[in-house]
Amino acid sequence: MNREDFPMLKEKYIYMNNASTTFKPYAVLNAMNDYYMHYNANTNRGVDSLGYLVTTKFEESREKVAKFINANTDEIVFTRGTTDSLNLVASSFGKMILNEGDEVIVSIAEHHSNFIPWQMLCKEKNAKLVVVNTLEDGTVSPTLLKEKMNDKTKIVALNHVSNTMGGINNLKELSSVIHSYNAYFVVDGAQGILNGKVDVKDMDIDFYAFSSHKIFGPMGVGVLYGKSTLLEKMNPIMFGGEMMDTVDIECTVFKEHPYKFEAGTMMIPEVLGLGAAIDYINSIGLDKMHNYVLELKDYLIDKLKKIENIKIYNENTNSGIISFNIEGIHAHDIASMLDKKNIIVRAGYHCAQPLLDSLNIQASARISLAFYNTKEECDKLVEALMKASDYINELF
Amino acid sequence: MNYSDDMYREIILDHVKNPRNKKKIEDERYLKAYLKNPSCGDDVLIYVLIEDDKVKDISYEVNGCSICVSSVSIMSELLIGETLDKALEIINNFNNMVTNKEYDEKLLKEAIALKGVANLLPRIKCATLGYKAFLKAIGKEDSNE
Repeated sequence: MNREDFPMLKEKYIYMNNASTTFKPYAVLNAMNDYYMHYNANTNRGVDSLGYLVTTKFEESREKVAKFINANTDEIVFTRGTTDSLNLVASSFGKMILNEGDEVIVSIAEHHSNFIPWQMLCKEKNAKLVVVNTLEDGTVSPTLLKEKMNDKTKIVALNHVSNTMGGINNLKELSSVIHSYNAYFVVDGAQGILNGKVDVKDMDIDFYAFSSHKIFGPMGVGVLYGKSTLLEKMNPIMFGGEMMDTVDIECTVFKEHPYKFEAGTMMIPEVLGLGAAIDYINSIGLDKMHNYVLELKDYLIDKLKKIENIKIYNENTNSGIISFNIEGIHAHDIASMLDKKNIIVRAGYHCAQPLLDSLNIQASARISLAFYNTKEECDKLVEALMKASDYINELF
Repeated sequence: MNYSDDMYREIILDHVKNPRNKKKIEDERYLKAYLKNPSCGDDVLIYVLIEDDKVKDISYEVNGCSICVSSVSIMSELLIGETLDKALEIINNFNNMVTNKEYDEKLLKEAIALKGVANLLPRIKCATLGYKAFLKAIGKEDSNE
């Protein structure tokens, strides 16, 4: 679908590593170039019309993001990305509400960025990090979560969609369980923003973090959504220009959220690029994209199953993520061999060591499809994998 | 494909399927070092026995890809019996080979089977992991950087 919109698709690669990062359409690249070429100015400072124009466009992007996930505009904080957003929640909100002896729950399938900040916070506060196991598909069952919860649980931090297993968590059901214990729900939406449908109000999520570069937007910007009442209570962790109302030697008054969390000059062209990416997605339709990816995934899995000695870890996934190994061949060798044919997949532990350890896998290979991949590309991948047992020949 | 390329592949495949000197050691006289490749998770635990300034024995435990496993296996055969100085010279030559610099083929013996790694840039770290672990074990980990 829409391959002509993406300049990277003119290059020689068959790119199937979209869970790592996605290609950018001209619309996004043009939005960023336009800024530098035609209205290169800073936001909010001065009374010039150029700055005003930039500020208006910047805030329009914020509105687009808010609409995309059904949030209020003032609940959208621009950050450097998912990792930055999750660290902000842990160091500000987490630090504020966690006391000695309290508990934070994460799942075994969390990406390191939604594992380590909580691990560190618990160490600092003498709190307990509880790890809940996932089902075979990488999701957290609300029943199993309930078993781990008690009146000491303050925060539950889970992914929306697992970057290794592609399992889609039922956020609404999980949220209901979490809130029944008066705990807060932090969601790592890095993969979910594209693979799952996000409605933060309907799902009643407290915090949702995601990155622009995973939804065809530029790198360098991401989003933290937080419920207004919670953002209001949170203290900023970065201080400086643009985030305060008044500054005086004795005391400084912070701006309201989200601005109090956006200190210094923001990544303006990247924010505009993110807005353009959302416009682009909406022009095609997220549902349409998703359905196409699922169709392609089914097609590919069908063909992969015919490969000798292949082990697919998540064949029933409802995402474009497929994790596999071929018996007797290390995942890196699979990836290297495919790389020689310009087919790009990921191999390793996918920043999810606890999960792979628990499954006794040292490394796996991962294919992650996007709506610009094709059946022909899938055919080429399968053809290359058929020769996997000959990999030393292929490699050298 | 010329004959020697096929030969290289056979050597690598052989060492992958039958890694030499791969075993855990409980002997206190052995120097030990553990190294992990952070970008991919390959890791090696190496045991080195030095006597009279010579490499008396090397063995290891390894989890990794074909390049990593074959390289550490070939290395173990290459260095056992050599003086420490000679071992360092061999390691230097191996590093040169995989980074496209000048090297002495004769010194490397079977290790030249891995010269193709110089064209597989992301895999150089796999090929050198065993050698780095050896250097770490003998306390010379920065000498070849």
